[in-house]
Amino acid sequence: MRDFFEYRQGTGFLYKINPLSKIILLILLWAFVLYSSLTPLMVLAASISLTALYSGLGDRLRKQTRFFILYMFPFILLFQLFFHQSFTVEDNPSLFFFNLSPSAEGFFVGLLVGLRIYCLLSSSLLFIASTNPLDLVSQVSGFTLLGLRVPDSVLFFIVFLNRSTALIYSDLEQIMQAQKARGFSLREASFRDKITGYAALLIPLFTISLERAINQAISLELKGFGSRKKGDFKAESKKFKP
Amino acid sequence: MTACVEISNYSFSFPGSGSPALNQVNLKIEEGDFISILGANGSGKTTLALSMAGIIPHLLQGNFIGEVFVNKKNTLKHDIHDIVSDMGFLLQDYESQFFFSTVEEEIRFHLDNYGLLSGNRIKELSDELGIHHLLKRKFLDLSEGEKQKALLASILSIDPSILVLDEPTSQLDALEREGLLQTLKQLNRAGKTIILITHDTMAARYGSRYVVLSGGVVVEDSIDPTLLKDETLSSYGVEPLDLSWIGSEAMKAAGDSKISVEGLCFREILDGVNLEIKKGEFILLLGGNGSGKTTLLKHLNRLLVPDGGRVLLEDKPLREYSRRDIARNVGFLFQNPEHQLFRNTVEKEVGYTLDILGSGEGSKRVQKILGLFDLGCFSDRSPQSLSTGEKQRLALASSLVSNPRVMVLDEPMTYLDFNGKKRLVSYLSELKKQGRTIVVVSHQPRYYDSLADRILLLDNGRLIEK
Repeated sequence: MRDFFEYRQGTGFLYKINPLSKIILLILLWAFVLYSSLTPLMVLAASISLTALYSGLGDRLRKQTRFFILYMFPFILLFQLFFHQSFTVEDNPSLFFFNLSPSAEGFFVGLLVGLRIYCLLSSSLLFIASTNPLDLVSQVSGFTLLGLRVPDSVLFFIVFLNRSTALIYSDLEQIMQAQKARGFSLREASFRDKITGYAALLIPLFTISLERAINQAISLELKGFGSRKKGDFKAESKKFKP
Repeated sequence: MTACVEISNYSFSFPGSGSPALNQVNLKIEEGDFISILGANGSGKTTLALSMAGIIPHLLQGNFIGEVFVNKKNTLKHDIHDIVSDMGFLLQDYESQFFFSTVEEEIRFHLDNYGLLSGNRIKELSDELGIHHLLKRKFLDLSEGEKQKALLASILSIDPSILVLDEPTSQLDALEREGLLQTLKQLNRAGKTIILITHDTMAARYGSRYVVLSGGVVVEDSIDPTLLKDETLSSYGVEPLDLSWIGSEAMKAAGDSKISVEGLCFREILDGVNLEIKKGEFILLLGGNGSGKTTLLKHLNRLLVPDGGRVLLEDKPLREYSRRDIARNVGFLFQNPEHQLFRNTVEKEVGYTLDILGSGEGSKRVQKILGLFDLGCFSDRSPQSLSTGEKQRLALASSLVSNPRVMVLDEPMTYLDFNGKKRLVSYLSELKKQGRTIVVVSHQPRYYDSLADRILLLDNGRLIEK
C-alpha cells in the first residue's frame, strides 16, 4: 500500500521536470487519453511504460499495475467481448449471463476501455512516484494566475497531510511487525484470520493516530501557527547570543 | 530577579478523571533559572508544562482552579500565541513537532508564523548551535539527538526567554544526551530560563533547582543537589542518583547455542555481524542511536530478512521456521508498548497470542501470567487505559504467555519511571533464573549490570565484545 503513494528520490528524467509543468502535462495527457482512439492509445500506453523504464520506475510501475494487468484488464476485455451487445439493445435479455454473444466490436471497445484506464492509472502513479509533494507545494505556493494564488492554509494542509501520512505508514509498519512477532502471518493465515488480523491492527493505529493528532495540534499552537494577523509585516528577528 | 513563571494554588483535573492531575501547586520560577522537574509517570509533570504554555486550559480543557502567570500574563486571560511567543517548548513526542521535510524549512516555518524574516537568522542559529550540516538534511535521516538539536534550533529561532523541554533525553544515547544537556547549560548561561521535565535524575542534575512532583503535588523543591541522592526520592517514584542496581545472582549461562548469527548483512546498517547466543545467556547490546541495534534484534525473529548471512535457531535456519514457530520460540518486546496492544481488554490481549498460536488451555495460562505480572485486577480494562508502565508489563506478559525460551527486548526502559524500571529488572531477573535466554538493547547499561553475562557493542555495523 505504501508503495502506491510514497515518493522516493530518484535520478531519472521524470524527476527533473518541474512539478508544476508535470501537473500541466498530466492534465493534457488525461484529456488526450479520454478523447483518443485505439491506435494512439496503444502508442501512449507503450510510451508511458518506456518512460517508466527510462526513469528507473519500471519495476515499481510493474508491481503497482500487476493486479490491473492480470485481473482487471482481462475482465474488462472479456466482459465487453461477450456482453457488449447486451448493453446496446433496448431491453436486457432475461437470462443475461447465458446470453453470450462475442463480437469484434465488443473486443475493440474492451481494449479501448482497458487501455484508457491503464494510461490514466500508470500516468498518475508515475506522477506520484516521481514528484516530491513538498516541492510541488512550494511550486504551487509561488504560482499566480490572473493575480490569484492558492491560500497558505490550503498549502499547509497538503504539507500536513503528507507528513501525517508518512507517520501513519511508519506506525502501521511497526504495528504489523509487532503483530508478526506475536506469531501472526498474513501469508500463513486463513481468510477468516486475515480479516480479524487486519481488524486488530486498527485498535493501536487508531489510538496512536488520535494521540498524535492531539500532539500535532499542540505543536502547531506552540509554533504560533495562525498567530499572524492579516496585514502583519515581517520584522527582523531578535538577535540571539548564547 | 523577577519571576517569569508564577503558579499559585493551581489545581487541574481532566474531564472524567477522578483525581486531579495537579493539586494545589505553588511554584515561582525566576528568570535565568535552570529548574529540573522530576516525578514518576503520571505525577503531573507534563500537565504542569502544558499549563505554563497555556495549552491547558485553551486547547486541553478541564477543571482549572488557581492562577498561572507566564511573563506576567495570566494564561487564562491570554491566548496561547501570546504566551508562547516568548517560550520554546519541546514535546516528549517530538516527532509530532516536525511538519516539513528539512530542518531549514522547519525553522523558516516557525519564523514565518511569527512574522519574522528568516534572513540571517537561520545562519546565526546554525553557527551558534553547530547545526550547519543539518540544515538541508531530511528529518527522517537524522539521528534522535540530531532531531532534538534541530527542533531546539527551530524553537530558539524566535529567541524565547523560556525553554520548556519535556523528557528530551529519554530516547538519546549517552553521547547525545550529554551533548543536549551541555547545550541547555550553555543556553542557560546565556540568560535563558530552562525548565527541564524528566524522570531521569542524571539529566536533572544539570539544573540548579530541583522540584519533585508526586500525585500532582509538589513534594520537594530545593536548590540543594544532594536532594538527588536522597533515598526518599524513590518513594516518589524517582530514582536517586548513584543507586546501585542489584538483580538476581548472575547465573552463568552454559549450554548449547540457542541462536547463531552468521555474517549478517543488512543494507548499510549491518556489516557481517557474527554472534553466538547460548541457552540461558543474558546479553546486553549497546550502541549509539542509529547504530543498528534494533535492526539486529529484528533479524533474531525474522521481522527483517537479511541481505546476506543467516540466523540459526537451534542449528536450523530461521527461514525454515513458520511465523508461529518463531513466535513460540522467540518473544519480542518493542520499545513503544502502544504499537503492540491489539485487543479491547487486558485478558483478551494476553489471550490473543495464544489464539494466534493455536495453543490449548488458554484461559488458565492467561490467568496465570496476569497474576505473575500483577495485571489480574485489570483483566477487564482496556489496555489503552493503562499507564505506560502497565502497558509495558502487559506487552511483556503477552509475549511471555506462549512460554518462549528466548526473550528479545528493545529499549524496554524508554517510557518507564523508576518503579517501572525496578519492576522490569526484577521480572528479567526472574526470567533469567528460569533459564531463559534474554537479549536486551539499551542506552542505560547500569540497570542490567548484575544480570548481563555479556555486553556487546554495535559500532559501524559490527559487533564488539566489551
